[in-house]
Amino acid sequence: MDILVCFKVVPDLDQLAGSDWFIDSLLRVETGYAKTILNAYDESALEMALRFSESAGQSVNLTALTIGDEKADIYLKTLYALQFAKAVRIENSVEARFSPEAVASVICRYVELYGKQDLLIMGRQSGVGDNAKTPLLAAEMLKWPCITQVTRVEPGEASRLKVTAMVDGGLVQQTVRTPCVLAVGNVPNAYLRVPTLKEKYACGKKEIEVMDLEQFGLQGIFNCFDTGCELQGLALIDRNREGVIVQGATPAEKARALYDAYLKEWLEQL
Amino acid sequence: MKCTAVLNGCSGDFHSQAGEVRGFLDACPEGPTAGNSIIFYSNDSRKQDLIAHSPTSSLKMVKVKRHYPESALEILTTLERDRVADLYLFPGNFFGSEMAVRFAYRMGGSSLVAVNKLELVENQFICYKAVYANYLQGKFLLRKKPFCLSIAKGSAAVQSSTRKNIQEISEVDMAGFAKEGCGEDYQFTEAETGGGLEQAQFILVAGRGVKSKEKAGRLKEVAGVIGAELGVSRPVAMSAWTPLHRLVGVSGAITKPRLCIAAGVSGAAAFFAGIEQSERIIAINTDEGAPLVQAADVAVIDDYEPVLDELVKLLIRDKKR
Ligand SMILES: Cc1cc2nc3c(=O)[nH]c(=O)nc-3n(C[C@H](O)[C@H](O)[C@H](O)COP(=O)(O)OP(=O)(O)OC[C@H]3O[C@@H](n4cnc5c(N)ncnc54)[C@H](O)[C@@H]3O)c2cc1C
Ligand SMILES: Nc1ncnc2c1ncn2[C@@H]1O[C@H](COP(=O)(O)O)[C@@H](O)[C@H]1O
Repeated sequence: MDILVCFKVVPDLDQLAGSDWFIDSLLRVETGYAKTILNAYDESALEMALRFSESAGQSVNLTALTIGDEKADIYLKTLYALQFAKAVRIENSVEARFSPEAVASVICRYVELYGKQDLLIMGRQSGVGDNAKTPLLAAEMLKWPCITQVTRVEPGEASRLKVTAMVDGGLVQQTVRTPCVLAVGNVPNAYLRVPTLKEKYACGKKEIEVMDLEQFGLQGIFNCFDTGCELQGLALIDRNREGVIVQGATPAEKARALYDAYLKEWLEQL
Repeated sequence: MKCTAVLNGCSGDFHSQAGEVRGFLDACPEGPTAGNSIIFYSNDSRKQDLIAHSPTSSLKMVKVKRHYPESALEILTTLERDRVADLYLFPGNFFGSEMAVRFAYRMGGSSLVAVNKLELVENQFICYKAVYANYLQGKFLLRKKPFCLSIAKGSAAVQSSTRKNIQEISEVDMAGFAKEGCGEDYQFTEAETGGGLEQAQFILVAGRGVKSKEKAGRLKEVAGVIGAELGVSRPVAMSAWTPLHRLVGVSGAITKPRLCIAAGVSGAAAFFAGIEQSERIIAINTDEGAPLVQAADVAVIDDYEPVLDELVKLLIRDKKR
């Protein structure tokens, strides 16, 4: 069984203080000084794929794919150490934050040209665009069924999968035929495992496959794709309130000060 | 501009979907006018209630076996072949955010998920949504019709009164229709309810600063004693220290309490979106530089445990009086 997991490396925006945010006249935002992280949902998607391959009882071929610049390479290396058979980066340094249509097109072209994938696993949403569209669009383009908010996937009989997903008001368990697209939602206890030193060493020389958009006949796609949706403005959301700091020498004293000056009255108003 | 709302009457949250759509449209007086609603439903016994709560007075009831996105999309695309609306509005739940994007693709239109405001300016259709993990508000011009939008959870004041002037109802029975190959052995389990974080008047929220599953469990007790509903930040929920339905923030509940006490939470924007509509916010944090300290009305800079212990004592003392 061939599984493709698509992930994105994103800046950890929680590291930027209010004064660090700078939006220039072309609506670009400098995030270069924040450290990078795996997009949270993609981290769960990658771990889910690893767990699936362990429980599958058949041979599973895992490929990890990202579209982006070389900042992703250390993550791709880690994925090799974690037994991904292939770690691919499609080089792109053009702004793609609000182009989920273009990202989905590239992913689909990869599946068509190099694919024979049975399963495409993605995160449900990624920074910095927070589009929450790419897996849905990829499913539409491939004409594959799609399940969103997935929390668990297990092997089923005869090219089928048992998939658990959140829906409004509950959880659904169902059997689906492959090929299909799964968009991973909030999954507790699904942080990506860390490779051992030995695992890292064993794959140290394995090269990341770097491809470029020309190989797909999609050069320039991120410059010219018309999504029908144009960014016209960006503004920092101001959320500050008074931020009065309660004084006191000990925690108990501070608690009493809080209670007497504010909390008691606020509770009475409830 | 004519707008069609698409709602899922198969799920238990129908009233809030309908109320959200009405609240959203009411908040955009210069925006589109509500034209028609399309309501998927499966249970005849709920039908009259769905009709009574429809966001518009003209509506189409579509009977399906159950909500299954692949089938619903085919049905919707067929029904709207001769599209009369320029705008399709979907609720902010899982149903809406999936359908908006996939339906737009099939109709050759454009979509945006989690829109919190829209404007029609000189015939230009402008949408706003939070981006950059909720730190920034983005403004987008949509060009390709039909525009298919899902509403940002919690961004509309829910208007949930019933409607007396239902004028036009049409019905379509698609209960026999099913897409092959997906959704076999479909089993639905109703979620444990979070005690209604969204409705709670008083919430206590625990962040990573509470440090362990045991301590999070202890905070659940404290919440019980002080009469608050317990919420948690993402790291707490993702480490399974509490069940997932306690999650507060863009990925969980958008709360609107009168009072919120947040202990050991740094105040990342994706979290803060879940408490920003609180009337009062109290932060308890060891770090004066944590963003939540500035975003709170009042803050205590200290270890949350002894602070909460003392508050509990004071509350119990005053309750006894
Ligand atoms: C797409 C996306 C969606 C997200 N959705 C959500 C969401 O819905 N909800 C959500 O919460 N997050 C969400 N996040 C994650 C969010 O960005 C933050 O990572 C998260 O909110 C941080 O949680 P925290 O404040 O509990 O942890 P931390 O940021 O680690 O903060 C812990 C705080 O506890 C304080 N502390 C430590 N010890 C003590 C002590 N003894 N007493 C008092 N204070 C102490 C520390 O000073 C610190 O401020 C999302 C992120 C992304 C990218
Ligand atoms: N540049 C990218 N490379 C690979 N996968 C991506 C990329 N951007 C988005 N994705 C995938 O699409 C999902 C949803 O992203 P988005 O639609 O941008 O919110 C992510 O969680 C990833 O799985």
